[in-house]
Amino acid sequence: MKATVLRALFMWLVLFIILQPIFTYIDYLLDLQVKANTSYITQKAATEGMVTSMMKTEVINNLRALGFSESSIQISSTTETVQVRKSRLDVYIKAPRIHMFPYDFSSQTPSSYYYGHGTIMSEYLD
Amino acid sequence: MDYIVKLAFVLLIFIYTWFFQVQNQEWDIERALLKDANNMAVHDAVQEMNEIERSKGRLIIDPVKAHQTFQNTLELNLGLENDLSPKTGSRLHDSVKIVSFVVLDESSGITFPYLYEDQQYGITKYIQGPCVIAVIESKHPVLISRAKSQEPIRVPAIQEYKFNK
Repeated sequence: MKATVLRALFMWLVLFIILQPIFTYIDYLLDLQVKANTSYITQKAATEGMVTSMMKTEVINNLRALGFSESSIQISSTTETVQVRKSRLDVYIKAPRIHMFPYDFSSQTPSSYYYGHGTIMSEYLD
Repeated sequence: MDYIVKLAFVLLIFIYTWFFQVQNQEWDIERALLKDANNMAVHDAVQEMNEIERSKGRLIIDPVKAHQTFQNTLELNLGLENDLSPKTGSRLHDSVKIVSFVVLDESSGITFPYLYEDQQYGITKYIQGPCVIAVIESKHPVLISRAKSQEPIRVPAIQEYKFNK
């Protein structure tokens, strides 16, 4: 009886040991990609003076390839018009985060989305 | 009893490796954030041209304004206070240091293309026009304390103008 109980406990531990690093790794990769895409679209927006719909589509396609649904990705910017040289542009990306923990041991709730923010000065010249 | 000891040992190893993995991942994300922020900061800094000199046909970067803009962009991208320490909610855990900030332009007494070499930070590049070169660093994230302290995360960035051929 004792051996059976211990074995049952150990099986959960083995499962947890195998799965948890995988979940953590996937979470880290998705977070990194959201931030990398934010930086990419921000630097690209600087040359055009604004975030164009083509840039948004490109980033949405990049994130969709990672498993995010198109409707869940939010890309926003502080401006919808072309900004002159040296004006500041802000770009924000939000995408839903994967659920990582089967049990919540702490009182703190982890963030429910991945977030990226980039700010840059426009280099647009008419 | 023997079984319990083995179980505890496995759990200990698991927790150690998991923390080590998370620490390395945190290093990678912080490095990516620092590199992107530095890229955008030097991008903004080179736009601070001396307009009087520009009207005379010379591309001269105003070093004081360039440094101000550089620091401002870093603060906004990384969520930092004026002293470059992280604000509450910033992804960074330690303050950022600007360890090198170099402006090279036509007032520097050099001709372009110019071979820029910095042995201290391991930078070697042919510069095609006026530019800003900056190196920033922040402390290595620590989840597992060790006797030997890790090297800081240090990232360089260069933004240059290229003359049309």
